[in-house]
Amino acid sequence: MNKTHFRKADFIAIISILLLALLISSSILFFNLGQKSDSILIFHDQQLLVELKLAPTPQVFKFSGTYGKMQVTYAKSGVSVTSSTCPDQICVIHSAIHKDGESIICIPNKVVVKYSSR
Amino acid sequence: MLRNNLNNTRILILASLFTALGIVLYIVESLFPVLIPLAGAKLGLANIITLLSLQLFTPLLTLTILILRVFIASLIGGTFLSLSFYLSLSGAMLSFLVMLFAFKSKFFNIFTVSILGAAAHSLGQIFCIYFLLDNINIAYYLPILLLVSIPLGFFTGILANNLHPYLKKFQK
Repeated sequence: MNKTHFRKADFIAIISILLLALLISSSILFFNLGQKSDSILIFHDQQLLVELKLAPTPQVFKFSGTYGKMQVTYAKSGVSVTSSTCPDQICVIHSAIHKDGESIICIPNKVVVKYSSR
Repeated sequence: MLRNNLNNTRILILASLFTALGIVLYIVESLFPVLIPLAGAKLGLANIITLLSLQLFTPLLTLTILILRVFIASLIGGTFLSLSFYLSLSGAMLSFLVMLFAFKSKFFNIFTVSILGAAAHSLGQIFCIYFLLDNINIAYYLPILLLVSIPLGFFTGILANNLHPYLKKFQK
């Protein structure tokens, strides 16, 4: 009544789970599912200031934060804060971001520059 | 008539005990550190109860035990109507349906039923996250969860299989 031995159907079921896992991971790897468009989101004081679409050539976006003016250079290869009038300059020293979810934060300006590939 | 009533009472008591056991296993499991360093992967000890009641009781009673377990455990854990409650509910529902069909079809042994249930549990959770948070990126995590569900499902299957002989006499 309580079957414990493995038969053909059991192996087929387990292998089909493995195949499903393989199929999903390969489709993610090869077809890049879920990465529809790359864009950069700039938040000031938790409010979305602007959403910039990334282009192959570098472009510059200028805006002003709480403390002073900021300048963001963005391209598909990476996004960085190129100049800021804030005292610490941590956002300028920060290396360029190019992956989904990465961000550059400037505390005096209350600015968050966030990379998004959704 | 009297015999039938006695039997019904016995089933009722056993079902209540199963619900309580499921809740306890669910809570105890969340207190332990996870053996595998993977977020979201856990043993699924409460699934033992579902597997056992699937073998011992009718599907409707199993479903009742399962829903009661999810609701009461979330009320005790303080996650009622939060995201983790919906995750838990959707995972449990899909895993129950898959295990019911896998068990009733009689094609598979109890270990495979458990593995299929574990895989369906992760699938249900991923679907739930997709619909609630509208985030397709969570699909990246699905292959890992599916792979992990095979050994973990097998483990709960062994536990349920070893417990079954002791509870066989309560079968209805």
